[in-house]
Amino acid sequence: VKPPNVGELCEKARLSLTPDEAAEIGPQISRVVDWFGQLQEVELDNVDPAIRVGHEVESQRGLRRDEHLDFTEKDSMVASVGEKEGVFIKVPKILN
Amino acid sequence: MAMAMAMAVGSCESIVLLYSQPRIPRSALQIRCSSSLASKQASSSSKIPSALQDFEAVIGVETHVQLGTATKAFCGCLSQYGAQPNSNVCPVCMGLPGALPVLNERVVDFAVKLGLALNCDLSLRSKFDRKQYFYADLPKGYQISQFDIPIARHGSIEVDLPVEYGGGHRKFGITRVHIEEDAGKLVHAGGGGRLSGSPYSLVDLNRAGVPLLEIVSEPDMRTGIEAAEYAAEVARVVKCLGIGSGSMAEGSLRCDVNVSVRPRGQAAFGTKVEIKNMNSCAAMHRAIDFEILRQVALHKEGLESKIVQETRLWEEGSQRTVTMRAKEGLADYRYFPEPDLLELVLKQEQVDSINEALPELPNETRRRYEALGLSMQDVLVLADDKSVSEYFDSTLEQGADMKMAANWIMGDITAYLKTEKLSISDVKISPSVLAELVSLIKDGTISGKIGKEILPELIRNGGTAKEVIEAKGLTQISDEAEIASLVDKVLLENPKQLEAFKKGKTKLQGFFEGQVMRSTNGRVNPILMKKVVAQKLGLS
Repeated sequence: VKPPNVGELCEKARLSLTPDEAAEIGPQISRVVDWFGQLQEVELDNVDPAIRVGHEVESQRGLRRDEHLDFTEKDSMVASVGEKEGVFIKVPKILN
Repeated sequence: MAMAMAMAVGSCESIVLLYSQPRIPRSALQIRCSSSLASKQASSSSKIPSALQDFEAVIGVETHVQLGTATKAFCGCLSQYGAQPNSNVCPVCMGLPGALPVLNERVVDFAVKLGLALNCDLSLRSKFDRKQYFYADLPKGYQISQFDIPIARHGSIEVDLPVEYGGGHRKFGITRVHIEEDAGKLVHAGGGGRLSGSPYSLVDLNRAGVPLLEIVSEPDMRTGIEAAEYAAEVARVVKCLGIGSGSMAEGSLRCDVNVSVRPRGQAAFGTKVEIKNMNSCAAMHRAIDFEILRQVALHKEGLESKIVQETRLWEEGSQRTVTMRAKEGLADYRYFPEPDLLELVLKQEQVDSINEALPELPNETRRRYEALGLSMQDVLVLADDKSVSEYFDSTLEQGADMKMAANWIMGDITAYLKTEKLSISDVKISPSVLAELVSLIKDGTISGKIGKEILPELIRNGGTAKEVIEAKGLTQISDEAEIASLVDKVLLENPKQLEAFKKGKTKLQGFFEGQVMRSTNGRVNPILMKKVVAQKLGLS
């Protein structure tokens, strides 16, 4: 596994790190990736790939009915939005 | 700056010049490009313009269909067009910490319907993934979508190209159909409403979380009209299934296209250009044809390297595609399985019962009408809108003459609907009354002309044709004896003209016919009347 390109990762995650922070975090990320890398040692020849983890519970398919249900604290939720202009949410200039 | 030649793609007689760098010699541009239905040139557009014969265009279409569910994909907020901004929101669709999505079962139902209608293989087990990027209209910082295991794959759709564009039947492949959620809406304040000039932006999250089905076609289309008709057919299928309003104008059906060209015979694809911002099938047609010509012209000048993989916008005003932004490099969406959602499992019995309950699809209706003997032109009109074809079918069930019923629906009724801005479900003339009207004309009780006169009243007020005819005393006069006495009267009242006729002015026969017609307020059977007039004038 390639060592992490901290600069690229920061760009994708929209995070800013100082050079010191970046130098410190790079090895930490590597260690986490290597720790997961242990999974590569597992024998999978006779195992069918699972689409995703989590088994289906027969009685519940994880679906909800197409019925209207409002959040009970909707007004205070919307009121707590940082910056509004009238009914719209105001966001800073979009750069890209 | 580059020298530019204006490209004007207008209506009938458009001579095409090209925005390009640098100048394209006039000889390369002996092309007529038509987007107007009225153009006679267009009927030969199944023939490729000479300048394009060395090249083949490869077109693919990506369509986003907004589903007409009551609530959003992953929460119980209303999915509602035109509501006050930020009124249909909750922690889930606003992406607040701790909120968890739960899939709307009707979204699954609609997805299965569409997958089956598009002849797809359904994945009985599929999953959701996070497509991650940052944008102000995407509250969670990711869109819940389906990446590598979509709910449906490997389908197809059949279309019939409009007669005025050369007609023809096509079958286009569908690569995949998957479920995803829509983003919110951005309004760019200041800077003339454009993104680049705005000091800030305003966000409305009502649309965030609205369920979408994304349909990706195989790159099987070769012309603008093929792609436009593909989109029109997808819209028809969506409306027919009742899963959405399928309207490009309203924004509930959105199409992006990918266009590339390659020298004919070359196996490798050319550079693919994405085009966005087409608000109608007609705009798709024009945008694609423009883009094909733009790319071919660059090739012919040896400048194919200037065709870059980018997103271009269709400008309706100037009728051209323009660069949206400089190439940024491919986005890295860092897809991974959505941990908050279970695997999407379909039961075969569920799929089978949905399949059995599917309505007759537009292509099936067209084949059925063709088999009835209707012309392709009529088939395309009658089968375009399900409510119209259902009306037509009901009229036929009542025993109406097929051709006459078709003509009444496509002609007078459609004209009335257009003027009054109504749809066929608004008219008060039921299929059985139309059938009645048709049979009364067919058996000669009234003339076609009288039929046209009473139609508006029947549409507005309902009632039966017989009632209106009786109320207005409009029964057709078909008794020969009665007609004979009417003709005698007219000849008597017009001695001068009769004299002139006998002296050789044979054109006056029409005058006498007109007079008889007028004297009966249009009620006399025209064919019989003309026969009697001819007899009385000694012509037969």
